[in-house]
Amino acid sequence: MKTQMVRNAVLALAGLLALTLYILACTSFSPDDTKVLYPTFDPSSGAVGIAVYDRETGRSETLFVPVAYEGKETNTITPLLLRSQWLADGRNIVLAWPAGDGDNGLNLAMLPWPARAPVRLFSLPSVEQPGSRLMFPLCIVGHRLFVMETDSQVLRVDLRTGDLARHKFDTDSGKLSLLEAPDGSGVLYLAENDQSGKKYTFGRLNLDMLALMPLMTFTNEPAPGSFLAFDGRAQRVAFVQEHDDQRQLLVLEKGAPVFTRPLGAKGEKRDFGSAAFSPRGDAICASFAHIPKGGTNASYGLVEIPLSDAPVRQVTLLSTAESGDDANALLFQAGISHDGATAAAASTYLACQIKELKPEDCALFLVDLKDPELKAAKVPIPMPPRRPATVVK
Amino acid sequence: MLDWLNHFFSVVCGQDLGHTWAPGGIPLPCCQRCLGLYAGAAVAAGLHLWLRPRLTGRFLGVHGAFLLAMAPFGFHWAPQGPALRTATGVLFGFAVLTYLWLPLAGSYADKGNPCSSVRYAFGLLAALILAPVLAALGGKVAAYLLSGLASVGALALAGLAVLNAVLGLAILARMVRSLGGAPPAADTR
Repeated sequence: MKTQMVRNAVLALAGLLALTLYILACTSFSPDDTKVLYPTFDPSSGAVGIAVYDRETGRSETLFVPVAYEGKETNTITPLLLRSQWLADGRNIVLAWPAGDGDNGLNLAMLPWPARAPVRLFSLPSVEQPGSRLMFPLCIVGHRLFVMETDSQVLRVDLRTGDLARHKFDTDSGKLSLLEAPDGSGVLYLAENDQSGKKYTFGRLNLDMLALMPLMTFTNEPAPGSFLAFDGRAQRVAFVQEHDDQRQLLVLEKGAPVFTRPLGAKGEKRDFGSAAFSPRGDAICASFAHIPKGGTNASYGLVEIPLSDAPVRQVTLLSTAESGDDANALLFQAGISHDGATAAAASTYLACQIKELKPEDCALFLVDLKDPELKAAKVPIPMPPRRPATVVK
Repeated sequence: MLDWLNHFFSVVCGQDLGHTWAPGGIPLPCCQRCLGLYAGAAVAAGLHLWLRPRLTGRFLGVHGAFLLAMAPFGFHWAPQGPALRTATGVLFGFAVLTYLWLPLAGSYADKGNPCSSVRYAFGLLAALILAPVLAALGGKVAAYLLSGLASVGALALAGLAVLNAVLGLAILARMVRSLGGAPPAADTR
């Protein structure tokens, strides 16, 4: 009897210990944040492709290079806007780029990595304005990709079977943009409606019924060059608005007071590329481009804006000479790791756009968000020889 | 309700949204593996209360294997998808609950109905299949059902942990008392 009691006590202790270990491990386990996808230059053709950087080994590998030409009569390679994203299973990468002349059509590729399996290519000729659809990350949940075919029609693509499903929304819904919920947990949308004054509706897309489920409506106008960020549970929306010649951060939450915070001095212009809430939801991390008033040089970097009175932290990653007043903030977008510890941004597209970009500034930047100084590591992206050499002989 | 559950599970789960089911577009309050663990624990608690299976050496050994199976999957040594993550969580949940239930099971631990073990195994199989299927294919109702089940499981595990701690302390106190022995006899010299 006594032996049995000891056995029971030992097993109960083992169970308790296993549960404790499990809970402790689960809170610190991160999904595989060891690799980063980023746009790079193919050294052979000079075309923009996608590479994967392994943070553990410090090595990069080019995975995919779609090559397109500027016109029918030329053999000049045009830099393509490429979006790349991991599937949640961590074993497949989805790539998207505009098809044909860029007016209509979107191409998709599902690339198994690192295992060998068939590469699947999809051609979606009916997607209008593919470039603008690629301004935001792709909306992928499980093996299904969601994209707006037109401003009012959504398309669902099953990346395994190729099955398509479409749904056209009422014109009352307004102009719709799809947004990926953090970490692929769903698809959100923003509808812009002009019918009775400008009004925005933010909500969630029902993935099976392709129906809109509104979460909140607002009339505040996001400033040009603003980002749009939302927290993990889609309860809060954040963007930048212009108020009294000053830019300010605005965080809206249903049933809660509006949070505002000035960003910079009056008249100062700062554009943003992309932004995300921190995993704790207490700050927003965004990539920015900044041209000082009357200046010509733009600086690009990363800024962390706490949703409190705590000081803003920022790091400038590179500076360029810009030809106009507007910086190319949208070409410098950052991704945040799942554990919120690292931000990654590549200057590949800036190198395509800005001829004066120094070769040493063409890089993948990895910013340590846990470091008080936001220390950045730089992984060089070799620039191809200039324009004449991108011509395929 | 889900907001409150999100807050509750944030204490014990990393809530990695990339590894979280979202039936009907509603992200569950815990990750795929934790869903398996807590929902599995809830089902196991129900089965123990209802069927009272005999807790034989073999029964406990099989549950020990379930417990150990968490190591290769929990530490990501083995490749796995969402369904497998949930399934390994279910097995782990069954094992932990059984071991925590053992000291409190009393006399029925050895006198339970031997046929109950078969029905218990069917219950386990049903949980293994239904948890990922409901999470992957279910709608809003499934989201609430699974969240509720996971909450029940978490509460059951917490309750058992507390009861075991109390029992352990009581045994420890009794041992200390017995080690002290009888009071010394009076010196009659």
